[in-house]
Amino acid sequence: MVGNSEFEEQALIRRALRGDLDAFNALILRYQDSAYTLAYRIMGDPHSASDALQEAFILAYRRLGTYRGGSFRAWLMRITTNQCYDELRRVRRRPNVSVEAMGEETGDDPAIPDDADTPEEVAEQRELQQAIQQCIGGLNADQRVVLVLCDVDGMDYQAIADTVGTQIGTVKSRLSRARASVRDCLQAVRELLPSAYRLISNEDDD
Amino acid sequence: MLTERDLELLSAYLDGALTEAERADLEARLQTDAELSRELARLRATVDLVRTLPSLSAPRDFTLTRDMVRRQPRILTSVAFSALSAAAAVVLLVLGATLMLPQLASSPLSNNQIAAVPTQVNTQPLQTAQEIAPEESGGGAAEPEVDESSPTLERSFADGALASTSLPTVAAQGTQQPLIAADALVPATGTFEAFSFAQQETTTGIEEALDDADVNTQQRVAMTATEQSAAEAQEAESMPAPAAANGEAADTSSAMVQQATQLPTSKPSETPLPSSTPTATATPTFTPSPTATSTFTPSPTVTSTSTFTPTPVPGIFDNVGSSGIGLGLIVLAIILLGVALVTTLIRRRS
Repeated sequence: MVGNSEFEEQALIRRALRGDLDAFNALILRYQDSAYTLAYRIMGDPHSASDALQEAFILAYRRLGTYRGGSFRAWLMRITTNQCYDELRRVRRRPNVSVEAMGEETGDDPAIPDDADTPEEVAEQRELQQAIQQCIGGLNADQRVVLVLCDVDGMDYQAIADTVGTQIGTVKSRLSRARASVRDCLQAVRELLPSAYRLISNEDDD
Repeated sequence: MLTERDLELLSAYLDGALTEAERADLEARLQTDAELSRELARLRATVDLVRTLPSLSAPRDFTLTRDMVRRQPRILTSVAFSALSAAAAVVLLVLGATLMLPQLASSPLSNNQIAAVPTQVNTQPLQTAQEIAPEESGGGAAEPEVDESSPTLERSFADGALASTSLPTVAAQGTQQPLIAADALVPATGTFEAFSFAQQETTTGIEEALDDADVNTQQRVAMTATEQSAAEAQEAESMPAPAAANGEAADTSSAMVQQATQLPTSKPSETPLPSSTPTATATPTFTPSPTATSTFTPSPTVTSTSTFTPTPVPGIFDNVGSSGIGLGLIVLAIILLGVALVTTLIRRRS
């Protein structure tokens, strides 16, 4: 099935390269969720994420000629990331969105895990996610992008280096600092954290 | 106390990104270093928390439409920009050519080009003179001269549609003046001013007024040329040709000076004076027959235009070579044509 899917994707890519917009849209439909997740985690709010994503897809269509084979998803993610990057640099802001605002904005988040079935648990889970997102939003653009690519999208270091256009050593360094910053940030909302994390935090305090 | 390097090692360790040696070394330290292992636990918990962030669904489809991928028209690649560039190039080309022609005409080798300039200015009266002058002036000898000048007229027409279309308005302006020196011979300055005026008119959108101007000009100039032809015929009969031409030119010049000083809009008199006199004296070599002067003369437009003097740049051509200006305009026109061409190509490629 996977092979068949890849075969279909290659056919779509070939058609898109010939200017077939429908084929390109079929590719977009395959990857728009993961690309939106990436854009949202980097940008920090749905409006900026949607704008960046739309621009990224338009740019991707116009720059189809730069696709040199390999993973189309990685190529699309690279363009999306760069678009978010440019937007972050342009706006020069760090979206420290309030918890209230984030409550509205994350209304389209997918369902909470099955085991969190009480309303309290659902609310706690959502609050925790908002807190994590807020901590990510507190990072500078370089660290934020690397952290999201690694811990949200699951890229390996080499893929991150290719996407961002930097060395693996730089990726390691940025990622380490990003994680340390998020760790410190989460201390401030430890009451939201799972008990395991709280235990570690308490240990640290003692 | 943990260093930056320790944190990097721990972070990479969580991702399985350490070399075998680094990993072995770190694991050995973790056995003995409680702070290091505590930090590893915190980092792992942090990464795990971040990784619990759910994947999101796109709030809408981000598929593209044709309109979205169509490039926005930019100023430089817009059709209007190319068209304007091309139009401006044509205008400048024609102006440049017409500025250069009189300069060439001053050379004794190109008498035909002397005729080309006035006939360009006065194409309508010439045609009407062709029809009317023989009858009213009674000068039978006029016809051959007009016929001779006709090819020149056609050649000058070929120089550019814009000049020929804009010029009737100049003639129309000229014929509105009551004072018309019938025998004044084509002063070069007058011609320049006429073209300068044509330039102004052209840049202000002469095309719209073309039809009206053509009709009006034909009517007015026909009348003017008729009266003029009659007067010229009488004068021509009473004087020998060279003397008549010189004397009339001098009279015309003085009359022009008077008119120029009387009219508030007219320019200082040095513009018409110096250039009109030598041109007038040169005329007998061009038209040896007295009837030729009276019949061919495109003077109504030129003389009245120089009296009217609409140009805001008096005497500019006395100081700067008009051929140089013409050449500059032509070069500019070529550049503009290039711009129009390039922007069109860019637009088509995109």
